Amino acid sequence: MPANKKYLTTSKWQRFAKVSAAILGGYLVTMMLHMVLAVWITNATGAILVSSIFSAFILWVFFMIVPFWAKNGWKVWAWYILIIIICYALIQYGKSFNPIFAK
Amino acid sequence: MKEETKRNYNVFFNIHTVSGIVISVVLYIVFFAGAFTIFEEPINDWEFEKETTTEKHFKTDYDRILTKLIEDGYHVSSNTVRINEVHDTKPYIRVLVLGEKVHDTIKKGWASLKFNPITYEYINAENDTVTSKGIWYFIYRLHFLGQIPRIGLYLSGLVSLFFLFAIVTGIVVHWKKIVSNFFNFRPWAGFKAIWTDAHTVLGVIGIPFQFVYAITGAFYGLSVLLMIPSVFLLFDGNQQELLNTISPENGTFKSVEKPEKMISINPLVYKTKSEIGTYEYLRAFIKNYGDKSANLQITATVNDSKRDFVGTASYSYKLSDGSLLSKDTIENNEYNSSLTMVFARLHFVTFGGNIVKIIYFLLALITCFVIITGVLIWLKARDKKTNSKKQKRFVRRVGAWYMGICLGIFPAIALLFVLAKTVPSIPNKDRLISTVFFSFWAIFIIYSLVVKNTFKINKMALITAGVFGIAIPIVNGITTQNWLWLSFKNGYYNMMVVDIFWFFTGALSLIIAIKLKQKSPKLIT
Repeated sequence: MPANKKYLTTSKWQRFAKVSAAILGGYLVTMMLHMVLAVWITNATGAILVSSIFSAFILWVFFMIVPFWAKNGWKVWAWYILIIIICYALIQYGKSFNPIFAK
Repeated sequence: MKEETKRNYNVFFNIHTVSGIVISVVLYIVFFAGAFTIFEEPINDWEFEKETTTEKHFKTDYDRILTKLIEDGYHVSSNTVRINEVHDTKPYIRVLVLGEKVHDTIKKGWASLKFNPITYEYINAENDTVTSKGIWYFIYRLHFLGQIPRIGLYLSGLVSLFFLFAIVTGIVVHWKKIVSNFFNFRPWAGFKAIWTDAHTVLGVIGIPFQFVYAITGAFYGLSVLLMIPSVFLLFDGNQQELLNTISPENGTFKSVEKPEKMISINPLVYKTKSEIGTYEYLRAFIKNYGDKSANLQITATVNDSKRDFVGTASYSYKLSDGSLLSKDTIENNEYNSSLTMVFARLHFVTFGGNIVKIIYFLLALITCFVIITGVLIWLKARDKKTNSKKQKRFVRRVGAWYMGICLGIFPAIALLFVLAKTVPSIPNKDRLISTVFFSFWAIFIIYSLVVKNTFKINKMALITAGVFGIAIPIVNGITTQNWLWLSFKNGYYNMMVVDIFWFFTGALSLIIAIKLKQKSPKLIT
């Protein structure tokens, strides 16, 4: 009993959007979220970076599933890019008061 | 079912199937080879005829090594020297020097040296093709696809990541029936029901084990992906600074460039050893030797889960006067260094002793079974009467490839053990063994592609593995005189265990092969 094709994405572009958002987008979002935590929680920067060996792959797989669960792959990409931009801003701002990076 | 739920079910079912099928063959190889790598000590002892040595630890002369390094022009005064003592599986002192000095230019990265523990001469083992590294090492490399140059390790890491994806989506798909289906056992309901029940039930039983291996495996293959973003976004491309933040013992620090007389290292190490007690292996990090800022860090790993699961103790001393800088005892570990150690313990099964090793071996084989039944379900679901001739041929060919590769690795590994004892010690022994191993595997795959019949492929795998398996203790007896009963009498238990394992595995394979009768000739034909 293969999955019922009626429910699957047929558009090639949609499939591309979903697969790329799952693998690449999921990876970037995962790493950005980890780095925001690492930069902002100033007394545990190293510990959070090390802890990512446990949490990163689990979180990545979670963000890998989201695009398939959603109906529109491009919308997921839009959300992911928004998260990445916000995280990037937070990281750059946070670096200024984290003693490890502020030199 | 609501339309939305139905859609989700089918979507998840599809991504579970697609991701599972894509990784299946590689994942099968990784788990099958991995199962054998658990028994590093018995396999190495069996091959190299080592008796269990009582003298576990040589006394390492640290001062002598450092003097030699300085004499040979290694740049130690503004760098880290890492010394791994001899332990069971590694009969040499391993020294890693950061920044090797060659002809007045300092090379970047670590240089790896090996010292003979008695004569303190270099062993050039890195490019050494003369001495055999053994079949355990070969299986170990196969486990992370090390035979594929450059990308093998990353490929195995990616497969591990998608394995985690397949596990999670598999649970999501199966969630509603996870309890009721767990008690399904329908051995007479046809092969599709058997494969499905085996896949779901054994899959659920194996989840904790598989989850641990999916994550740790992904880390060992793809750790570089975890580092790249923080190196570039947080540390402006300076990898060393990231290492200093997350694991100070592997890190470096700037020398103050004031030469100072160093005290002798050996007494400090011996003092620390007696404080720690029994340990499994010991590493020393000597930083900026000869400089005023120099320090020595000693890290010992203890294999005693009653004391602590992580089991590392770490002491550091100032090398100008020998004063204690910091002390992490086994019961009181530092968080950062413990984490990677936990990963190593979980992945390499260095906890819980032999019982856990045996359970893990069986769980790894169960996982192989889950993978192969998944493939069989996939094939069976596409083996429909309404299929066109072309579709039928496609399904048969895919099935033959999958079965050939997956089932062929079992006799191929048995053959590896036979080869270890029949190929004489010649230069390039490892390369010859590897060639024969892969040739046999290739021939097996070609056979599968010719017969295109799961039943026949399975039977051939069992017969060849059975013959090789029974041959292993006999060949070992003839070539080394270590017959089973003599090993028992002499107390070479590790050798005996390997022989017994293969004898029974071989016999069982042959018995199953003889008893197998093709009841349903239409099984994926």
